[in-house]
Amino acid sequence: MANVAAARGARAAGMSFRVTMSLIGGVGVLLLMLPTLIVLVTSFTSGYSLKFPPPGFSLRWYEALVFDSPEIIDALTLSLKLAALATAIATVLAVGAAVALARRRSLAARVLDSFFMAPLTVPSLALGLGILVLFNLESAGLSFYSLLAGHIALCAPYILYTTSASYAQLDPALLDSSLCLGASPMRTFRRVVLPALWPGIASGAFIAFMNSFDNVALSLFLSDARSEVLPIRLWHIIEDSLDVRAAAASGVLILVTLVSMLIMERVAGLSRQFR
Amino acid sequence: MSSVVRTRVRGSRRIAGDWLLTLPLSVFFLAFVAVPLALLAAISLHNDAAMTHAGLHQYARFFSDSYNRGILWSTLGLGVWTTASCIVLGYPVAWLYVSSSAHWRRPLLLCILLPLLTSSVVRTFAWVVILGNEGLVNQVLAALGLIGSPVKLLYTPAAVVLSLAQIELPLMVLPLATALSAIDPRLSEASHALGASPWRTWWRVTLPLSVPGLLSGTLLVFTGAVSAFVVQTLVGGGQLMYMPFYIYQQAIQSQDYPFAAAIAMILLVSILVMVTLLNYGGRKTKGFIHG
Amino acid sequence: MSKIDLDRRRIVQALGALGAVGLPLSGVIGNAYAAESLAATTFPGAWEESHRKILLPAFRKATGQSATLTASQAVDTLTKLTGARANPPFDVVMMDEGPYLIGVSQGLFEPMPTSKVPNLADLPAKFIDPKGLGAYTSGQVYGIAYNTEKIKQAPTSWNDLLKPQFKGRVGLVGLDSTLGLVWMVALAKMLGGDEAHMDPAFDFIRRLMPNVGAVAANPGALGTLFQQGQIDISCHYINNVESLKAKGVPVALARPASNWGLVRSTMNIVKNTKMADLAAAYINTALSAEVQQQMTAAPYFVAPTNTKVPFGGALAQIAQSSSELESFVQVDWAKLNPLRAGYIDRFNREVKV
Repeated sequence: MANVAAARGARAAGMSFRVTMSLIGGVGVLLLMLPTLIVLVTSFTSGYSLKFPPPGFSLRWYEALVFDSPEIIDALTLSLKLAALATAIATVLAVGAAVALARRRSLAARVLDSFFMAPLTVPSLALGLGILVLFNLESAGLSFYSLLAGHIALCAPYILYTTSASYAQLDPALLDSSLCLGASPMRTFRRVVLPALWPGIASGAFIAFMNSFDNVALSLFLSDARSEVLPIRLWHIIEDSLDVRAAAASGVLILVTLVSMLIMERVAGLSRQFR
Repeated sequence: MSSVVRTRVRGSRRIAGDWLLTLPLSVFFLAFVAVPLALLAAISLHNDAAMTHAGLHQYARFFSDSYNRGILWSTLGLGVWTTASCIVLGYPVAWLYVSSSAHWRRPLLLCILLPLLTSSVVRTFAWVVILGNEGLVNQVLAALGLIGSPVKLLYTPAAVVLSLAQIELPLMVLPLATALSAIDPRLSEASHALGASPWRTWWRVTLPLSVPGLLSGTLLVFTGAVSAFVVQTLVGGGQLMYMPFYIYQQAIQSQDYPFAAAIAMILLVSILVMVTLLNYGGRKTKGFIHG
Repeated sequence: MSKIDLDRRRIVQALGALGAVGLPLSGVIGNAYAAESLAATTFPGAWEESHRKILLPAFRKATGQSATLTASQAVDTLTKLTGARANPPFDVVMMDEGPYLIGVSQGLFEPMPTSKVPNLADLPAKFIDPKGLGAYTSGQVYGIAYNTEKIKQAPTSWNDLLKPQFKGRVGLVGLDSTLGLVWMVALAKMLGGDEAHMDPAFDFIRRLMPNVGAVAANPGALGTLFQQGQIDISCHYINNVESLKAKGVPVALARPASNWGLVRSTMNIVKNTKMADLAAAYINTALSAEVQQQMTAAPYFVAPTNTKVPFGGALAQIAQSSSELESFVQVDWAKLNPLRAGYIDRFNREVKV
């Protein structure tokens, strides 16, 4: 009798654990998805304000976005150029460093590694202010290039991190056998190392690109006053006029992020970086 | 004989060449990360905005004023509350991930990744829409008859914590999920076999073993929450002042660079203290996990 | 690895490389051309809206050139100009009266080439800077804005904001915006003080705090608060209020017993600009009778400075003539400017939650 009761009690405890965890977990996942979905739905509103649920549905704000918003399109173009250039340069800089530092346990290597990861912990505000001061001291003034410098520093750690992780998974025997078979280090790098690192590099570049595209703090300090990057432009629209075009722009951003994420998953196994 | 010699020569050339590969990034980081941060420290050590005298005046000015101390305190408090919320929500989501079949894991992971990759302005915007007086939450509460007039949700510290918790949640879930999946499943099986309830197993076996992931996640969430300029300003509104906006206001609006630099340094040091504490905790628990 | 995978990877790699090279290249080339159009500033909110709708097309028609418009509060614009004197980010800026005087004292503006701004002839002398460093292009009226659905009885005085029924429903705007500052001066004057004696105004704010629902960063953001229903009553400019009405927000402007308030704005050519002539043409367009006439109409209600523009239609509800505007509550900026920073700091501390 006692055993049955104990077994039932144990089952109940087991159930309560699973139920509680699943419930809270479900709420957590819902919380992760909900805001994005709400913005997406609200962007199709036919009215002037951001009420949810919307009074009616229409594509008018997307039309307004495409045809009537030169300032938003300009900001989008600037953000794209900036992120692409920053990611490209950061990739070139970081991949070399990743290959050099990977598998080294020396103090110098670890110090250098922490140094390169610094932009991830240092608030980009502090970095932005520091670079602003640097440019002011050099009387260089702000321009696209001051912004670019900050963004390259922001992008590099992500690419370094994923490339190092990829390199760590590379079987050293492959490198040794390539060298033993007579290939020069350069050739080994090109034909053996780089193709194996490619998913890591691509994932890192993708994450770096999205982060640069999204960054506000650096851009606030480092962009020259007449050009605005997209997140800052959106912020002004949200704060100053609550224009529904901000929701439409957000909708576009969400869809583009979703699509590019799915593509990166298919092509470079993005999720593997996080598993 | 000659082939061995050739390999060794190649090997040493490779080592020298490798260090050369770090040069471009090192030079760039020296110029655009190390020097700016050093400049920040140097500038903060001036007594006046025109930077004619050196001294600790800016720091004295910050800490002697209760208004300033309050800003530091509320910013750090924001970090703590957000981290706590992310831990409470993050563990169940991570548990969901590791308990689900391989078929479900990839879509779930992508669900967790998508918010991380979406623009923070967009995600904050969503919260402005949800928490407003005419937003979703107030509408639901009114429909349920629980409130007569809208509750002020937006522009409160609680709203900032809530939006930050949602935005930083992926950064807690991912390390936790990694840590949980690294735990040997035989350990919990053994615990069950020995008669422990799932709760007890969770509490006494799983949780302690997941501490490295917890520390990783705490680090990421805390630094993210404390530096989250956009969320703090858009959801916090004009009455709530936190360190990031204070830095911006003093540097750009008041043009008082030494004071702004001092505030930035104080924020940096607070984060470094947290990082050091967490790393120390990590080292201490490593022995504990591997016995 | 199968041949198909290899090919697919090659294609994606090639595309990625193309994108990585092509996009930045276009960026570098694009930037070379970016400096061609005039860089002008305006104020956020309804001002930006009206300038994009009316001023920019008129400018295009008059000169065949385009202008890029950046929304920036006057004090922020000042900061950006002082931060980059040799290579200013803007060619022509819009200023509130206070920041304009500060800008003049700091030598940030250059004289307008009067031959390029013929419309100056239609301006009363007091609206042109004595050294030709700028011209007053508009006047803006502010009063008590309130939500007509939630507040049935129109308020009649600033003191109405203190009423207990408005608990948590009053909006404030930061003192670094001109609106916040001039409103504080208006309060001070109503309570017996002036620009140099603002204690009565700060006292009023302290008593108002239980009623304050939200503090906006700028007048545009104040409008957003009305739109979201976060606040139901505050001081506000007429152009912002009317713009909200046009969007379907139930808001109206009421005249306070102590009278409407008036704020004037100027346009100035920035020193060291590379487009002085184009900047002069921009100001000329802003001063033209056609543009100013359109700005007086709904929903902007901007008071003109050009004497040829009549105070007709919607604007007549507020004032019939330029001289009537003079009787509105104004601010002596020469007195106020030196004390500004102290007031802003004091306000931030009072208003903190």
